[in-house]
Amino acid sequence: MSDDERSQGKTLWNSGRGDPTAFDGLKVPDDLDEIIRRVSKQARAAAAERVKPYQTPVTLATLRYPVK
Amino acid sequence: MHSPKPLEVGPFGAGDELAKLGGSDQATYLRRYLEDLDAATIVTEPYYFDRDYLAELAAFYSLSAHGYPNVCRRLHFFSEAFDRGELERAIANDAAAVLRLRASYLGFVVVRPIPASPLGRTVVRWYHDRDAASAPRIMTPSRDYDCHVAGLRLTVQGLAWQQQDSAVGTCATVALWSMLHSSAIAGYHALPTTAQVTRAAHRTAGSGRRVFPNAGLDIEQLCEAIKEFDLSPVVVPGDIVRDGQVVRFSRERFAASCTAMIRSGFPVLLLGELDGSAHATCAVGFRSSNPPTAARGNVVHHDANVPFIYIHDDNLGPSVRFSISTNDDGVASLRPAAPPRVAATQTPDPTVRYPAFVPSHLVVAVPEDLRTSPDALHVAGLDIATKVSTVLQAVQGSLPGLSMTTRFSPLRDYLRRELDQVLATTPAILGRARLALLEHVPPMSRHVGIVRVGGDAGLQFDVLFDTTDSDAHLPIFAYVVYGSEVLPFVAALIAHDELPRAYVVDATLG
Repeated sequence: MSDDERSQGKTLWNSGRGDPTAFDGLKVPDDLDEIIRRVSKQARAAAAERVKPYQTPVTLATLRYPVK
Repeated sequence: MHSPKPLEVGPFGAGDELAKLGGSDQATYLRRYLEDLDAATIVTEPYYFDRDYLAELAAFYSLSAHGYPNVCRRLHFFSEAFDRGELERAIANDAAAVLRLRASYLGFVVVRPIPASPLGRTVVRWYHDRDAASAPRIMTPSRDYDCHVAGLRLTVQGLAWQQQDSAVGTCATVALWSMLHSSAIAGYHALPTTAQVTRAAHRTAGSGRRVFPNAGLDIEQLCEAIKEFDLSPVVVPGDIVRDGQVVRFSRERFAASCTAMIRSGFPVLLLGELDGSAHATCAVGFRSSNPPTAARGNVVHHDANVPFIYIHDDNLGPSVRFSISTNDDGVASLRPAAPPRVAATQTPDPTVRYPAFVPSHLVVAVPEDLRTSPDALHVAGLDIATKVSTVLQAVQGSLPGLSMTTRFSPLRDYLRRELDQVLATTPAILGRARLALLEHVPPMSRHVGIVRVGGDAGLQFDVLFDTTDSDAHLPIFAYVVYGSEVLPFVAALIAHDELPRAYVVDATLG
């Protein structure tokens, strides 16, 4: 079996939707360092909120019966 | 002594060997599945000593007053119509006949002499992927199975499934048995029989219940069984919690966790509730989809909207397509959703009346040296992607948000396959990136965790994580940046210690 036949982990990006040129022309501003310093707190807060669904404590004792 | 019998060759259809197994949901599902694969011929081996059944016989059936025989039958299915003469030519190495039979081989079913549950080890070819170009079906856990009929080698790609016999194994045993066949871990252990799986589950996690006839396994027993086979269990609980107890999964968390592991080649045990009872199945593939649209400055999970997941369910059959939906409370549930039919037959669909399955936990077997949990990789990846997206938004407010996906991969496969999928059209950059990863990055672990970040504007960068440390300390080996516009922003965030420090591989066109 070839890799292609198993569709090994392929990821779809930009399959005809959105704007494939969205980042074209994106320039590095002269004050990038200042921008990063200014938004860092906001970025960290946004990240902390975004990861919450993946921080559930692992608990096992929730299935009351053996699975059969 | 069993009396010799000839191989049988006959047409697929009413009155065939599959029909003799009765009208169970599993037999009916297999009939429809094979009809849609355009099955035309069945070759029956009248005697087949099956390793799994022999272990079941030794563990349980040999002591029964019923007098179970020790031999099975094996049915082979082909999409070509042919007769015994064609089979004889193939067995005699006639090249054209060999080619014809191999090309039309659809898989096999081992028929156990257990009247109530005859369907033993079964591997059938996947349906043709009609959406391979736009939204490919991801079935990385599948592997090749070679069968030999009188010296004729036949190969089918899939993952083994079987019906539970409710004596040596229940749904949990056969789901775990299927999982242990996966391509990603098959090289780490000898393939256990169902009897070995059930015994392993009871060895260190005794429940007080008898081993055989088996009445089901607890989640702790499933985890202990995985450890008995020199692998490590990864448990992913649902994220919807009430009164301190995991209740269910949100759609994103369920889809993200399953797809991360299936992309990595690891099948996923789904534990949850089916019509009021606990049930276990094994997820073996999914249908990819475009990522959701990311609002400006935000990050979406690339796989949050995958529509279908393919499940080995011992109540139904192999690779049953289930749709992922949510109820009013945001709880994810799975319902069978058969694909459009290919054949024009009237065989009923046994999945129509099947109730919704509501998963609450996922369990995955991984190699012991892969210590990073999918949750830790998601947290690290979303953290990085969100910070990059926030800064991009601050620089240019019209930019779209980003999407992110995760997976684990042997390092060799990342270097060979993953990079090739992205950079195959630019061989000079491909070579430069591969060499940079080997010559400028500290020695990497056997498996790497991959966070892949992109969006409507295409793939932007990968982050490669060390998988041999604890979740509390998740070192990054390297950033591999494909988007030339994004490269300076990633570098600046690293310089400001807003992203973890690691080598940046320039894989941009610029």
